[in-house]
Amino acid sequence: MDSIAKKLQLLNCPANMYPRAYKHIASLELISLEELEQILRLLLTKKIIIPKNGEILVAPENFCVLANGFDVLKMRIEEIEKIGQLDAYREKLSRMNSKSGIDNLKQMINMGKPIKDGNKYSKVPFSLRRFNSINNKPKVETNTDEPQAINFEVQPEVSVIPSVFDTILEEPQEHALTDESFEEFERLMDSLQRIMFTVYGVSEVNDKITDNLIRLITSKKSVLEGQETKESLDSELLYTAITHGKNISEIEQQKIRNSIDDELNAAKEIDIELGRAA
Amino acid sequence: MKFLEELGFSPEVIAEIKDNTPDKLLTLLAAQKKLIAENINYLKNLGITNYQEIFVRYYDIFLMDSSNFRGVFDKYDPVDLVAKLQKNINVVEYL
Repeated sequence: MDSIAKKLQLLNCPANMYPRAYKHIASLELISLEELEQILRLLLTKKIIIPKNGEILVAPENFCVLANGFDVLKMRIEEIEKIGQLDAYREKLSRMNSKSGIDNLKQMINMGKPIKDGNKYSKVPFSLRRFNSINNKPKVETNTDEPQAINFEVQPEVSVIPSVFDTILEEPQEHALTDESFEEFERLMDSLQRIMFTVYGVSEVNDKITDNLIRLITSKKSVLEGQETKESLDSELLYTAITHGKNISEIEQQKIRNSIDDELNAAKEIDIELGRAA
Repeated sequence: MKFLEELGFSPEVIAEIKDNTPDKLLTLLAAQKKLIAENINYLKNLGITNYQEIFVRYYDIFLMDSSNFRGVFDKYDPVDLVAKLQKNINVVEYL
């Protein structure tokens, strides 16, 4: 993990700003120093941020924008440039967080609606609530960060699931979360926390395991859709997320398997009680 | 993000949060929901009624550990703090 101090230095954040900056440290922790350099270069090249002597490059309240990562920010810049509205980002950096902002902006332009209030860009396209209320209809989820399908071969045998899942985790490609996969992540994360507590006595799930789980969830559908029951898929997802890249004993493996089985059985019983079973 | 619903957030506000939050932070928020709930409840108990607005704008600060989070707000007279935040949530940055 790169030190936060180095990142703050790169951001030209003066010491008297540190208390403000430290409130937003969770965002800075999500990017490496190298990626932060890349992002700053991009934002400077596009004149989205303009440095002045002694002033910080990105204000602490905007550190969350950096957590989008280089690829996402680059893609959003390219998209908004195509419609000639890059100034919207130059005017307010936090607009780069909006996933639907560019689509909403395009829609407003196409419908002949004003995209500016006076000289400034309207807040409407960059706020889903405002946009939906003005359009008076439920917004169809638009995900500008569509995950790309992975070209894995479908493996029909149940016995190969762990190796396929391990293969996913060897892939460097990142995938965006859809609403559906995010809900799945939340559900499995709850289970994972309980399993970690049972096996290791701590409910905290480290970054590596969290990252494994996200990558498995966002990739698995293209690999194994329709191949397995929900329970066995969940079981393999959880097992691979916990164990991938680790050298663990057979006893520990068994302990993890047992705990996963117990957890999934308990979850299934609750679902049945609540009438949520499929 | 059902835990936010349980904390009083409407589906519209949750949709807004999901639309405006980087995926990596969204997953972190979901993974740390106990901590988030603790910090949100702390603000609610202080009498801060626009806590949702504060969360929508400054979700990442809710990932601070609860003692540090409280430390940010504890230094001020609660009545004065509530009034100032009601007037302008940007005050959060300067606490």
